[in-house]
Amino acid sequence: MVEWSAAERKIVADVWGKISIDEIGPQALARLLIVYPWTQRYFASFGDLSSAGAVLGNPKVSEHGKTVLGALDKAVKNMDDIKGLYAKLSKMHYDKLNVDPDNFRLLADCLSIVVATKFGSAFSPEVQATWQKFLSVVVAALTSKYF
Amino acid sequence: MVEWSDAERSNIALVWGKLGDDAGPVALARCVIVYPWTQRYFSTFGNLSSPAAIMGNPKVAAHGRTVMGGLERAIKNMDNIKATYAPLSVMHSERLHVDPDNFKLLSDCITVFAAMKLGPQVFNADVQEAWQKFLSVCVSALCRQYH
Repeated sequence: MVEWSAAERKIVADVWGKISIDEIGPQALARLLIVYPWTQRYFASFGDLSSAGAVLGNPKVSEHGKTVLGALDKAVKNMDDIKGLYAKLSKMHYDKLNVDPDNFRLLADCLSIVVATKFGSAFSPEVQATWQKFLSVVVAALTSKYF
Repeated sequence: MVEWSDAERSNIALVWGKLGDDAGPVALARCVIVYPWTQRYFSTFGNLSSPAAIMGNPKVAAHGRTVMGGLERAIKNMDNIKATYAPLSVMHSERLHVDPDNFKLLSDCITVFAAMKLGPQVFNADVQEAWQKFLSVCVSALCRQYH
C-alpha cells in the first residue's frame, strides 16, 4: 500500500484546494492533445481538433477535461485506497475505451505543467515531488486492471 | 533529420531567452529531489540529505550550470543536435555510466521550471509543444551513442 506522510497529505490537499477543476481540467487535456497529437485518436467524436486554437476552444475538450479532474477529486479524497477506487475506471479504460496506458502518464505530465504555470515559485521542489508522487499513484491505479 | 518550423524555432528561442541563470541549478536540484535515485551520480557532491541541502549545494548549482551550457550548444546548433552531442553521449555512456532514462527526468524538471517561470500565457500549449520537442531531440541525441 502507498504510504503518505502527514506532510504529503497536506501538500496534496493544499494544491488541490488552490485548483479550479473548471479551469485546470480543460487546459491540461487541451495541452495533451496539442503536445502529443496522437492522443487525438481517442477523441474522434469531439469535432474540430485541427489546430491549437481549435483544441483550446473546443467545448467537448473542455467538458471532458472537467470530467477527468472530477475523477481526480475522488482520488484526493481517498488517498489511502486509490487503487480500489479506480478499479472500475481502469477496467473501463482497458475494456471499453482501449486507451494505451502510456497516455495516462502524458496527461499527468500536462497536469503538472499547468499547475506549475499557475503556482510559479509556490510549486516548490517538495510540492513538485509530492504532487508527482500522487499522480504516479493515480496513473498506476488506472493501469492496474490492464493485465 | 529533425524539421523545425519557424514558429517552433521562435518559441524555443523565446523560452531559452527567458529561462535565466538559475534554470540549471534549480532544475538539477529538483531532479535530485523529485527522483532521489539520481543522487547516485553525485556522491562526490557532499550534502544531499534534504531538499534544502540540495537546493543550497554549490556543487549541484555548478553542475546545473554546466548542463545548461550543454543545452546552449544545442540551441546554437538546432539543425545538427545529434552530431553536436555525439561526444557528450559517448562520455555519458562510457565514462559516467548514466542510465539514459535519467535524461528524460532532468528534461522534465527543466520544463517544469520553464512553466513556473513563464506562466500560462507565455508557456502556452504551442510553446510547450516546441520546447518539449526540442528537449526530446536533445535527450535522443544524448542517448544515441549508447549502443
